Amino acid sequence: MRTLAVDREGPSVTAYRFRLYVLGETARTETAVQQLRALCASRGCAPCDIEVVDVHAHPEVADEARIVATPTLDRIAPAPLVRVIGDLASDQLAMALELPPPRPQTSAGG
Amino acid sequence: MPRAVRPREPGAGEDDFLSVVRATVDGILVVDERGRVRFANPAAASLLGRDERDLEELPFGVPVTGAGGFAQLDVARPDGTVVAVEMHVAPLRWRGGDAQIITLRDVSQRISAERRLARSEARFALSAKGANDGLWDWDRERGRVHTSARFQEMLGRSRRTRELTAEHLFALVHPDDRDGLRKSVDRHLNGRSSRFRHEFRLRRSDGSWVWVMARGIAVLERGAVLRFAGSLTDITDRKQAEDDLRRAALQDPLTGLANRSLLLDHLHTAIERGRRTGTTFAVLFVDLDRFKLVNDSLGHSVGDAVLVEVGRRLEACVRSTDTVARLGGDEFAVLVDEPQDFTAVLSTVERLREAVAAPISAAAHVVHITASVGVARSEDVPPDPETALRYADIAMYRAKRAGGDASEVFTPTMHAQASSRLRLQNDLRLGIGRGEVVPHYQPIVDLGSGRIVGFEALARWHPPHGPVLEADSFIDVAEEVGLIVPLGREVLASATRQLSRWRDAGFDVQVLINISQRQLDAADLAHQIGDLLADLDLDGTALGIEITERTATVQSPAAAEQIARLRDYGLRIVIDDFGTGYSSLSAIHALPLTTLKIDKAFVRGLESDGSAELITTIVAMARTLGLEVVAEGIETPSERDRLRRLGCDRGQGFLFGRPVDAAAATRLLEAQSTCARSRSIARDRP
Repeated sequence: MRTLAVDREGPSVTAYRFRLYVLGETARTETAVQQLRALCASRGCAPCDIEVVDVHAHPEVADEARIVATPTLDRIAPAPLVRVIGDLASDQLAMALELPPPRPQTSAGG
Repeated sequence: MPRAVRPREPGAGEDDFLSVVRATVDGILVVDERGRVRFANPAAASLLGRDERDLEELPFGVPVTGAGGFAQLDVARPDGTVVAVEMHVAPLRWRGGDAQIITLRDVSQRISAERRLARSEARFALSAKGANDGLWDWDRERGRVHTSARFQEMLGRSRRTRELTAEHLFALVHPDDRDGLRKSVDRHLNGRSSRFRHEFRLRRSDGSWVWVMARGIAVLERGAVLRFAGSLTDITDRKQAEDDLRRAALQDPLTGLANRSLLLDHLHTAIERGRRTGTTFAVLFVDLDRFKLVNDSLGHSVGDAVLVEVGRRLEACVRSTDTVARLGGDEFAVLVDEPQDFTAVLSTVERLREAVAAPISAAAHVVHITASVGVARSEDVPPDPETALRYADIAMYRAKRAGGDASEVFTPTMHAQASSRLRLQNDLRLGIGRGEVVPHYQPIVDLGSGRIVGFEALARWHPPHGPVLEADSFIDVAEEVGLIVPLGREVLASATRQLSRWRDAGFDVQVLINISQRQLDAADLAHQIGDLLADLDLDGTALGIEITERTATVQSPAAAEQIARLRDYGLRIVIDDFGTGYSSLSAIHALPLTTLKIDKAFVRGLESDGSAELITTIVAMARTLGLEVVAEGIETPSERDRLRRLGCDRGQGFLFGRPVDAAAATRLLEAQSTCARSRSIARDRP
């Protein structure tokens, strides 16, 4: 079930864009990305686009975004920007990112 | 002592109060709902490698954590160094909003220590000196825990008894924390958490409690947990800092009383309990009468000291289960929780009022102040803390309007009246903008000649749908919502322009305009009048202001200065309703008065009681001070004649004319001059 926008000029689907700031890409990063993707899918916010920024490799990007510590996850879209920090495996993540509530279980699966 | 309340020294500010938090070695941040930094202590700044000022408003992020409120962060500082930081998060109410308090601790050394510990076969083959942590190693098979010297030191025990049984150790855990700790240990040992981490209290040998955080990792050997080892950190400071911050967020910094948030919290609890078990409560809204005067005349430091003392007295009047809060300014509130009956509430109210009314010594001054109290009973309020408080406020306002130093109990009728007042306020705000408020003019006559020598300008409101309202029907509403200044300015400008038109037309009249205390306090009154006089090229002596006796008595230095400036412009300065207020002759003498207006109550009493003597006295006094006397409320010719004989110069009242609009007032002047002309023509005839 996709969210159809009423506005003709806008995109037909609410696009979710995330940017994950990490320090050095490690196995933990990959786990975090996968978990986020799964979370998005369960909340019906697919498609979701996740970009990973290594603050060590790109300090200027982190500086511009005023990143304080890692891991930090920005929900770039939809607006407004939501920034979370800490344990990305936390069960508080969905609420902090202001994701829609879990979709009712259906056999269709997406 | 009431809950969450700690009296403080007068003048102790929030900065002072947060000094503990600032001095804490842990980094502490408060972030708002959007994850923006609202507060940071120096330790947080140095941990994050930034300037303290840079941290304000920084988009830190909404913290998300795992079990126990913890998360692991890496900080890549601007200078290129990297630290491992443990973040602990707890919710907090901060300046009226939801916030989180974040504690940050550098765990770089400990993490490497723990990693080594987990790998190491040798017991305590590491040093945790940098982290200043104690270490423990639990031998599951033997049921014994080996601890480091630092561990024992935290417990205030001899460094020699390093080994103790697990049971002994659990016995040292605070009873309230024991179950949680056991669960957390079991969860980890059963493989349901990857790291063990728990905060709890341990009893020191001197009986006091130390807050600690234990971290650990189960070491699997031959498929079973044979060892479980980790560290112990003293977190008492952090707990203290969290408590202080929480208290700061719920406490009024000046008085140390609960603040509005905390009061509403307790009210919420009382409402919920009432719903479940039928208990009752009462909310008292306490407002000091004319407190502004204390601040204006004695200064804010005396005012603050008075507020602190009032808070202390209120606390002394209630039971420990009640909550005393300062809502702001001179407003306090008390939650009387589960009173015996309503009589008990009322006697509490009387005790409060008496306590406030006793003289207060503050910085070499003795201040007498009274309080108006509004009471709302749980039976009469909906189950909403804000509304309960508002209803108590409505009742307080009733008490205040009746002159203050009184109490009122909220009734549903009051709510209806308050709503209609609210409507009135809105209508009035719109009405002033639309020019619906205009002056009307009541003639003032010379009692000797009977000629109109001037007018008193009185505000009249012509709402679009409804009757024309006299000032009395809306002026206090205007006062209350701060509309009195724009309203007064409108009336003043319009009456002064009308005066100028009359003078230009050759009528030798004066106009007296009522000025409220608020207008006098607003610094631009004299300025506005000066501008008007200049624009209209008007002689200041044709204009006068009327202030009530009370305003004259309680004037602030700023108001006195304005009055002096107006007198310099030549304006008449009139005391209205003379004889009704709490006249302090010295206060009145200090003003550059020109005129006393005798209240109509005395004129009414001329025929019946001894008013005549009083009026004689007032007139004699006025003569001595070189003041003119105007009597108001004259309705009959006999009153006029007696007043004239008693020495009054001028009078006004229905006998001479009711307030009329500008056009009608002009006609009165025209009729008078025609009449005078015909009289003089008659006299000129031989």
